[in-house]
Amino acid sequence: MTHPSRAELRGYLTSESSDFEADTIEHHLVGCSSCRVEIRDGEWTNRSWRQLRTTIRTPPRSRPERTLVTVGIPNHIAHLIAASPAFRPAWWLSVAAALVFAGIAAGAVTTNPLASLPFLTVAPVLPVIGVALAYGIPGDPLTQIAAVAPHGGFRLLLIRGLTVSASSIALAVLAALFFLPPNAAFIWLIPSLAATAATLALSIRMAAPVAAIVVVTIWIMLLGATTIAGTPTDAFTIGPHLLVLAIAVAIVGGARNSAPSSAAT
Amino acid sequence: MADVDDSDLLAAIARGDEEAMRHLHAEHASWIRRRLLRRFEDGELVEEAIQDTFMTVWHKPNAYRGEGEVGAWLWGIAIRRLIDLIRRRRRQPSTLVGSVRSAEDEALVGLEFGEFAGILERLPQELLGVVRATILDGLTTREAAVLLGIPQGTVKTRMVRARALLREEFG
Amino acid sequence: MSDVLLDRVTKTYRRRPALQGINLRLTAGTTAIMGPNGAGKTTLLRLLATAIRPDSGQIRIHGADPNRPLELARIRTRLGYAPDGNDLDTRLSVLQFLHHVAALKGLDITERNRDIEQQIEALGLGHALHRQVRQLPTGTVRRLLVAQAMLGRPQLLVLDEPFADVDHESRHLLIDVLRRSSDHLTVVLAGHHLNDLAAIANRLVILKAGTVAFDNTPADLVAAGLATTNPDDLSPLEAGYLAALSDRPRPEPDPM
Ligand SMILES: [Zn+2]
Repeated sequence: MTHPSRAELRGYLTSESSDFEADTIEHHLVGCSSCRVEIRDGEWTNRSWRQLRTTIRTPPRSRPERTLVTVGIPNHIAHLIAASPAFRPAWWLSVAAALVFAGIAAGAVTTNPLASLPFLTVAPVLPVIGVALAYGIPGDPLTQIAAVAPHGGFRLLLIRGLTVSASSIALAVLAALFFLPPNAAFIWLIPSLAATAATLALSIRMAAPVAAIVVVTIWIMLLGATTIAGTPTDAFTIGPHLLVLAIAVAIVGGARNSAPSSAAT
Repeated sequence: MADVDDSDLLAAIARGDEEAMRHLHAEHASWIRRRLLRRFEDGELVEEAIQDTFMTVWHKPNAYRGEGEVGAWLWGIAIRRLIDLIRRRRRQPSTLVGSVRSAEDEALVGLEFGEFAGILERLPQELLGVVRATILDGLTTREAAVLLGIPQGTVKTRMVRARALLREEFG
Repeated sequence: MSDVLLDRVTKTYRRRPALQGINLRLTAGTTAIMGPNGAGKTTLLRLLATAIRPDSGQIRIHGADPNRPLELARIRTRLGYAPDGNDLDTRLSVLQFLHHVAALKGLDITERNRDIEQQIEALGLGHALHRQVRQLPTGTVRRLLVAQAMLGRPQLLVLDEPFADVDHESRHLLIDVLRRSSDHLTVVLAGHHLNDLAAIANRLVILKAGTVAFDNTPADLVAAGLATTNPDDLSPLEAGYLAALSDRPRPEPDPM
């Protein structure tokens, strides 16, 4: 291959070469590394690379994160909320699936409010599971790092737990309107909110998944007891009281107990 | 750097190797910028086209199928990014159609380049721009129209005239 | 003023005492916590990182009391913690991981980009930035853990096992970074690698069954080793370490 001379390359860079020369040089540069080095503008290349590197090193924001920033939520909080399960399709799908199955089971029997029990049992449990998933796996190094970070710990659990449980409660409202008779459509809502609050409060004292298990156990046992007693709907009036009690115990106890992550040890 | 194969660099980029990206950029960014500036004098837009080009490569290094020079592939991306930017600035709808380079054009490019460029030189100036855009840079009529800032119809009629003249030269 | 103070600190897990009445005063510089498995190293580090609270005794970090919520928040903004991250299993890339931790620390965009760039440079993470953390070799994961701990310019750096299973290059980089850090911040690290730790620490604390068995400079441990009869051809450092852990009555540690 015959290379253009240095003078010719210089002429190309200073736009002094003829169209013919310039076209020939451009054609040659496509495949010739040594001539490319010859005409390289080192200073410009460095600047261009630094700019490119900055772009490469900025992780793209997810759509929820961008939306949250647009409505005025600070960058780092938006990032932390957007990283929660509330924004993962898998979470929406499983909540929707659970509600649909519970709804079908309820609707299939009769329009008697008691027959809605499968739905009424499941609806308060879902946001609780959401809270349990919100923080991360106990003992995982990233969870341990988050636990002692200024915006980690209970604050993180709170903002994520609230977004996750809000998403499942919203879905449950839609499902209830569709599946349940009007007189039973919303009696699960108060227990659901109470269960979410109780899980969040208990998470001050123990790992979130453990708190979720405690709350779900209280809820199921209460439903079992009232069903045996023949008045299952009582669970929906007693439940919130019981769960508020759990909140009180957690908060009073939490004042003298350890940091939120300690139970993960 | 000449001893590192460009396609090896692309394979490394596909694995997320930033260093390989730096090498590819160092190797190609400068000449592509020159070549773009020769076609379109707005330096700012050219800078943006370069950034876009290499970001495209960073995200989709596998789009290079191993056919032809990596340099030619990069140029193809770069000139199209530039045209997109010009088009967006002029608020024109951005629809790309496939290359309309005819078999006859392919035969022209297949010639010994020096011989071909020599013939080109004998074309009138206004035809040369159109021929360069379509045959040398591989643009469609529509893309060439955007780059040259003339209507598509003009590109077409000029190409007809240019082809006729070129045919005479070979004749 | 001492940077970190532990006063008669005890911690018990499921009726098994992990720490029994620990007294320590740590000033700027690097302190290496050593000792056999189960001696209480990780528990001590978790206490300093405010991940757990002691059953009894007092802890002060830069004068602040981690038991008070407001002071705890202040401590945490100036804390870097790297747990033993052997099983760090995340789909995040190195870059995403660093940005995530930066968000957890509440850094704004400028601080975040600046600190991340700096740590990538210092710990040689450039080649791994876009790879998933779970696919990295141990040495690179250890470097990443130290890098995330450094984000947000901490005053207290708490590192658990930063040298475990690391390759030669990683060890080199880590030692370099930690040496440079110890001028201006308090570094507490735990590990088993006597030579590495003695090379960067200006103070060694050896724990034995939840108590302090040795607390002095590495040179002092070497001197203690030279003073022992050393039948096994150990280095003076190793001999000193074994002597500190042996059952012979030990002198009271020097108050610092
Ligand atoms: Zn050449």
